[in-house]
Amino acid sequence: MATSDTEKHETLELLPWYLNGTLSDEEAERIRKRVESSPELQAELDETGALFEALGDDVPVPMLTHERIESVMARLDEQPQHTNPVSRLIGRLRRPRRLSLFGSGALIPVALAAAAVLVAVVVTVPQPVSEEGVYKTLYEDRPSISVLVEVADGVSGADAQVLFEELSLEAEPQTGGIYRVDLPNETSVAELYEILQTLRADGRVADAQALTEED
Amino acid sequence: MGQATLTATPTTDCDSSADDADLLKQVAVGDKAAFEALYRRYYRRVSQFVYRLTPDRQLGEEIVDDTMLAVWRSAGKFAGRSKVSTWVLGIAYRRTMKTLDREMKHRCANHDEAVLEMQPDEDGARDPLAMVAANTMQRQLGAFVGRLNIDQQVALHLTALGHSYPEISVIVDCPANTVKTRVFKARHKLKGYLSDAGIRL
Repeated sequence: MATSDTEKHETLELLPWYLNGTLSDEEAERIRKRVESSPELQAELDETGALFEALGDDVPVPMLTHERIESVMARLDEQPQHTNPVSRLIGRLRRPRRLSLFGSGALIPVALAAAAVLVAVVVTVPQPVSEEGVYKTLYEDRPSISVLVEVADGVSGADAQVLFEELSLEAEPQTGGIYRVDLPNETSVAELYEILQTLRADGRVADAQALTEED
Repeated sequence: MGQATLTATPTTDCDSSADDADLLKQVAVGDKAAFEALYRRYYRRVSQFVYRLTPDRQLGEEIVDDTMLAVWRSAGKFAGRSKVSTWVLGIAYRRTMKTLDREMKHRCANHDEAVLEMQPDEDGARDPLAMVAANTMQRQLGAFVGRLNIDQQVALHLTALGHSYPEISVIVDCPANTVKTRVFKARHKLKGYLSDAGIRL
C-alpha cells in the first residue's frame, strides 16, 4: 500500500497515541495498516516506543504520609467552596482594591477617602456602590483602563471565550488562566464598575481586577 | 532539588470512572471523607505529572496540594464534559504553570543567579533540570526533555502518562492539532539530542 506524504505525516504524528492505546478504533486501524506496509514507519514506531517507554517510567514522588493528609485536611475549612457565590462577591466588594498602586505617600488620604465613601454608602445604600466610589477616587485621571480576569479553576479557554463573548468583551489570554481586557478610553468609572461586578458575579470567574495604564 | 531522597509510593491509581464522578459530587457538597478518598486516589497521578515538570520537592508538594485544594473549592463546577482525571490534570497544569511562573519572577526580582538555569535556551526552552550531572540514561533523557520548551514538555509527559491527544487538548486548553505538533516537534528534538550524545534507547 503506497503511503502519501500527508498520510505519512499523520502517521508520524499519531504514533505516540497509537502506542499508548488511546486512538479511536478507526484511527488505530488506519495507523496499523500504514505501519505494517512501511519499514520506515515501522522503524519510527520502534524508536518512538523506546522513547515513550523510557519517558513513561515513574518519577520518584514523596511518600504519602498520614501527616501530609492531615495537613491538607486541616486546610479545608479555610477553603470556601464555590457553593455560595453571593457571599463571596459581597466579601470582595467590601475590600478597597489596588490601593498599593499609588505609593505609600498617597495611600493615607486615598484610604481615608475610600473609607469615607464606604462609611457613607454603608449607611444609605447596598454595599456594592462603595467600590464605585473607591474607583472614582482612584481612577479619575487615568483614562486608559484594562481589566485582568482570572478564570476559575476548571474553566477551559473555550468556556472563557464564551463568557467574554456573552459580555461583548475582547479578551487577550495571558498566562495561567489570566485574561486581559482592554477597555476603550471613554469607559466611565461607572461602566468599569459594572463590568467588574458582572465578571466577579459570574461563577466562571475567580477574580477580576482593574489596571490603569500606569501598571 | 531533593529528588534523590524521594521514594515512590504505592497508592491506588485512579481512572476516570463513575466512582470518581460520584466522589466529586460528594466533595462538592462539603464531604471531607470523600475529599480524602479523592486525594488519596489522585495523589500519585497528579504527583507523577507535577514532578516531571519540577524536580523541586517542596515546590512539587505545594503544587500537588494546591491542586487538590482547588478541586475541593471547585468540585461544584465540574460539568461532566470531560473525565474527572482530565479535569483534575487541567487544574494541576494551570497550578504548575502559575507556580513556575511565580518562581521565575521571584528569582528575577531577587537577581537570583539560579534563574540562569531556568532561562530559555537557544530553542526558547526552559531548562529546569539544567543538565544535572547526568550519569544515567534516564537522567540524561530527563535533562534533554528539560531543554524542550515547557509546552512541549507538558504534552510529551501527558502522552507518556497515557493521555489521549483530545484529553491533552482539554488539559492544556489548546487545539488538538497543536498537541500533535508539540509532541511531534518534541520527539524530533529529543532524537537530535540523543543522537548528538551518542545515546541509543
